[in-house]
Amino acid sequence: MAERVIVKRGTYQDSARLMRIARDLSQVPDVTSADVMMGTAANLDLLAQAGFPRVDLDAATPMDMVVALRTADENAFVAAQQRLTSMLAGDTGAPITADAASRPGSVAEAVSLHPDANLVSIAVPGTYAAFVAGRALDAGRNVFLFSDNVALADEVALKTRALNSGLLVMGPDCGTAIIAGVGLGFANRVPRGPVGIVGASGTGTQEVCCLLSRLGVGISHAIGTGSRDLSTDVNGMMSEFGLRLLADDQATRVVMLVAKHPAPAVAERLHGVLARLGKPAVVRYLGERARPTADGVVYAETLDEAAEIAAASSGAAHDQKDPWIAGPVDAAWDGTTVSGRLIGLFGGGSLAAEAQHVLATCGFETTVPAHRLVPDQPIPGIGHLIIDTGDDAYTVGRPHPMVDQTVRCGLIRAAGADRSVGLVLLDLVLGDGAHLDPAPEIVAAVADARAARRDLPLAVICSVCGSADDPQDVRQQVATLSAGGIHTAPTAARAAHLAATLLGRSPERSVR
Amino acid sequence: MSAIALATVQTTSEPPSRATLLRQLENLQVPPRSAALLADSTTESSVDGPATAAIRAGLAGLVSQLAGGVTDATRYQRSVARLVGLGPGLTPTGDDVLVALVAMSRRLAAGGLLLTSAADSLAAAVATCPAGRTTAIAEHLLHESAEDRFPEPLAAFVGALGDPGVDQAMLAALLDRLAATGAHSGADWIAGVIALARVCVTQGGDRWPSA
Repeated sequence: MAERVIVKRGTYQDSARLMRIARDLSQVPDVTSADVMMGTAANLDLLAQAGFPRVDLDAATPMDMVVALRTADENAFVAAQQRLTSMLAGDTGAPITADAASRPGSVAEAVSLHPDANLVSIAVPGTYAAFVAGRALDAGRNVFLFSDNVALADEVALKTRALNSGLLVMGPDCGTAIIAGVGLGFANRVPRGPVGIVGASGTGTQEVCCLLSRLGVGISHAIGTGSRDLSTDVNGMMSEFGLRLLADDQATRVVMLVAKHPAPAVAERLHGVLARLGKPAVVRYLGERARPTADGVVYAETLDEAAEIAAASSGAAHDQKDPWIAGPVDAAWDGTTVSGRLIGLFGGGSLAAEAQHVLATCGFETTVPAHRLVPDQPIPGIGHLIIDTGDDAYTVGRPHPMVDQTVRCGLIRAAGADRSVGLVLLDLVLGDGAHLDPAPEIVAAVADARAARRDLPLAVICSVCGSADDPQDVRQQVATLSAGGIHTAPTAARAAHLAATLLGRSPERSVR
Repeated sequence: MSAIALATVQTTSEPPSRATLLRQLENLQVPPRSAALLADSTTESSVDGPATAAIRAGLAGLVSQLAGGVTDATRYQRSVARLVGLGPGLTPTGDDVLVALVAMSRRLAAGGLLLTSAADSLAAAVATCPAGRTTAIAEHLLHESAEDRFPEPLAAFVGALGDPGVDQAMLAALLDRLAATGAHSGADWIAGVIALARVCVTQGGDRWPSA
């Protein structure tokens, strides 16, 4: 009888796979028992009490997989060890089914199933995300990292390592990327074309992609970087690398950078990079005024302006302008004004920042509430408010508002019940990954909000970010909103501009 | 983008009623894995290996402390330490059981079926458990539970227990949903919840003032 322990360092396996490994190993001939556990202190004690050698166990940590085997003899142990090695390398011992192929259990398994794939998309709990991303880099693959709650130090380490290997790490907390026409995370179905985008902002990137498609211009790639890439700590590592990749990409004729609130030193450094790319460069830093154009780098005032400049610089024919974005911002305005305050309820954080910026340029200061608003409860405060319902404070216990609108609809009803509110400003982001038919829920919530205030009118404006090919049918979504008495606009900037008009103030500058 | 959905147990709206809870517990069909952890079943084939006995003992010990109104923090710390990181799974069974006990103790305390300060002591012991004793994901869930945030299917089931407005079919549906969560976390949570509920509901009388 042999009692032996195998410690697999840093082997992250979900519970179902741990059980499968234990079951498979126990079926190897002459294996009496096989226990597979994570190497926690309690489990190590237990295995030691059960007679397994303490000296082997002491090397394990809670991040390691511990396999405790009782076998009839040494040969059976070796056979089990070989079986374990092949299972961890991705060989399940069973024919690969379509389901197994589409849902590999580890990075190693995924890579062996798809040897030609050059990118690994990762959406595991944040505590394990850096580890899994590391395995993907080990395998020489680029990474799309949807997970959040990854430590800043881990992000810096991953990106440093990736740069040394010439690989991308898009994320953590990367909501959107489109690489060679393949959408990752939340992405719109837009044609391929000459504009290459580097985006630290998910919904900002989506808005630009949709604007360009409405202008008849496609994108080459949209490289996501994660929201912290332009912070001092991360120092724009992936933004710079993404820009350089686009500079070398023959299909890319214009380069665009979209981000929110960059650290000043990082923005300055990236300016130098953009100026030397050898291609026209357009930048939109959300939530702030356009910087002066310098060294050939154009800073836009809004995403709308950025898309239009990029389209014009691309040389692509884009004269078939969609009347919805080419027409006057106030085309939908019937001349009435509203009294009362504005409550902006956004699903896209970047779009909230964009709207807040446009309202400020029109003379309307807005604030972000210090505390979380509660659905169906009175709206606190007195001034105009902008709320990002995709913020962590609103998403505990439920998916992002682009998927689940329950909280946002509750807040729309709360805004209706508050007679100091005269105008509600919304966004709707469509595309793959998003709610498949969001407009009817918004319309129902607005109807409830209006019913609660009887004769007192409530104006509602909603921007719709979507492309003609998106699965939700953007025209149908717009028609549904319009039928529900909601003003629609193609972008958050134009919606905010219309809001300012309804509030009775002339714009300081037009939104193009 | 968050990958684990967490929710708060609705302890404030409708306190649990002892009569309802008794009726519900009598009619619930718990999954085989939960039954094995509760020692309802002599068939242990569904529960993995050597940890089962230790988990049963740890669970029974904590249930007895909670139901007995123990408030001594040190005793809870010792009991929690026995369960943390114990058993199979990426979230080891011992941790799942602890999360379930924190959730159910909050619920029972709201109805006067368990001493609030005992529930507080358990949560405090879970919150102060030293780092590095279990897997990272289990550690995260334990800390969230001490802050009153629980995996959503668990919160929904616990919130429905003892609520006279929830019929048996709905409760069974919530139980099924919970049982289907993860490879075995759902069944392990159910074991923790049921173990504590059974003892507290059968000890008779409203022993404890509700919060």
